[in-house]
Amino acid sequence: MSIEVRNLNYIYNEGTVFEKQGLRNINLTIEDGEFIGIIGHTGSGKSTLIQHFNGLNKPSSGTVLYNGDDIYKKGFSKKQLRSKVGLVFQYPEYQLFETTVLNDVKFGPKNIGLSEEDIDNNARDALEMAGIPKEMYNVSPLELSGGEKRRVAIAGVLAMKPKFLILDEPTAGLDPGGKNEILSLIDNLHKKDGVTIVLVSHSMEDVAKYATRLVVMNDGEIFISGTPGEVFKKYRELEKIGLSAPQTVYFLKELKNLGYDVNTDIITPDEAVREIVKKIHVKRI
Amino acid sequence: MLRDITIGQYYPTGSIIHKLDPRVKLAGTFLFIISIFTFENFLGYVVSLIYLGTVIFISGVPLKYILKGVKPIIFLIVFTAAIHLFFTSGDDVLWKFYALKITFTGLKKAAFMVIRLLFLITGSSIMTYTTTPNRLTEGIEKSFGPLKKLHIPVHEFALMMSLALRFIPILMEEADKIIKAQSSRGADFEEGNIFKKISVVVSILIPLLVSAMERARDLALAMDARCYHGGEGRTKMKPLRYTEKDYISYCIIFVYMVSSVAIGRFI
Repeated sequence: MSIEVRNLNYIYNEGTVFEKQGLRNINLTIEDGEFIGIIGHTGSGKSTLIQHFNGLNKPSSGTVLYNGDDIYKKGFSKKQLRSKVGLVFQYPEYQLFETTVLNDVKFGPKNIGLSEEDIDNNARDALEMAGIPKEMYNVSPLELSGGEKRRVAIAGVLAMKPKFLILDEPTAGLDPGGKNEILSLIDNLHKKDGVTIVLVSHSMEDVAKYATRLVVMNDGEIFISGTPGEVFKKYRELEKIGLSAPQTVYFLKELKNLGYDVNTDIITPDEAVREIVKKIHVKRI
Repeated sequence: MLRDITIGQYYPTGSIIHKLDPRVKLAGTFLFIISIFTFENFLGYVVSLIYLGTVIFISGVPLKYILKGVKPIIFLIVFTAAIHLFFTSGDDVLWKFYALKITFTGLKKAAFMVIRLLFLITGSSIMTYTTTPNRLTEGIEKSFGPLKKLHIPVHEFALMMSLALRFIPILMEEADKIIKAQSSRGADFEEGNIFKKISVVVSILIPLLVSAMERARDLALAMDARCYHGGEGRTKMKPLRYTEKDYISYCIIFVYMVSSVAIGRFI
């Protein structure tokens, strides 16, 4: 299974004075089982790009293939596509509308026409995955806290059992605790349930920890793409477009400059700690 | 879908029409609308059309864009035309079918109505295309300024209007986002029975309402935090001042009114 983006161009308000090129010649393949991080500045086209993955935006030219089928072809069921390619919007808590948490989560599976039993099971599974305690199932979603609302909204997409899950800045505006909860939920989905993840973010630290591949966007184009190690090696280029590598990368570079023989390919703090501890022990011996 | 609604959107081209004082444009639009409802023959509408066409041409707003604003009210136009066409009494019957009959008077009335509505919409949309909501409200506030003496809260009304206008694009964007978010959850706007469709509409309206309320509350707090206390003693950063081109425009509007009404009523 895969999502394949081919020569995609997207122009906002085509044919008016407000015309603006949103995406320029994007080619990208998302394979089954990947965890892709899409990074870029505000306005670099990240959100616009991911809204093509489930057919919400229509490209000005080029196309998107799902398992090799053109999703913009006549007769292609967008509804089916959207149940397979789940998209969680930025600030998804604003889409909650039902009277109870459980009913809201049922909205998705109901729309794709599952049986009453499946709807209920899916919804309960999704809420459990999202870490919502059972007492909250019959509470109005508007009474929850910000972080809880967000997890309910994510559960609303998970309840359709998507094979691909795309999340647009899922941790924006959350406190560190809420942020970690969401990120570990996503990581679990990827590792345990085998869901392919596309995570949009502008925080390098978040993406570096989990992603198997990074796509850096700038001004509507793919700027660099590769494994986190490969991408962060080009930190000088990232700095040119106003991004930066995670602090760990800079820290290890600095250590190396000072004459310590550390591995500079490491990108997460945990690994860095282990590496440094290892090197200290080696020295002592 | 929502992007098709273009009434009330500013379309910057920097033309001379854009630079006119909003009061001139308000008066011009108001008088233009009066003029099209006074005509008794088609010649008046020819004059109006030439006038309107020239204004549109000078403004630089593409015709396609202006006509797009007519789209949402096509139903209203057709409905009004049909009412006039079938239910006008008269002796000059052209076609009859049981209770329905088309008279020549009715035909003429229907045609008049269609033209009037079209001109009304295009005429007023030209004003909103060429004037930012803020300038427009300022113009209204200034034009109705004398009513303050009658203790009518002109400033407050103007503020409410400008806030309402200011929120149209924001809410549209919001609605667009919510529609996309619910579509991602499999919401379908075309298929399904009536109950499904209602649940889809509810899934959009409730979040929209909630966020509108939240925005309103935030705005009220922000205004309060900056000690907003109404119009008294408030000054403007850019007060409206007439310039030469505004006076010339008033003259042109006057000439149009006299000539079109004279032609439309008395020839």
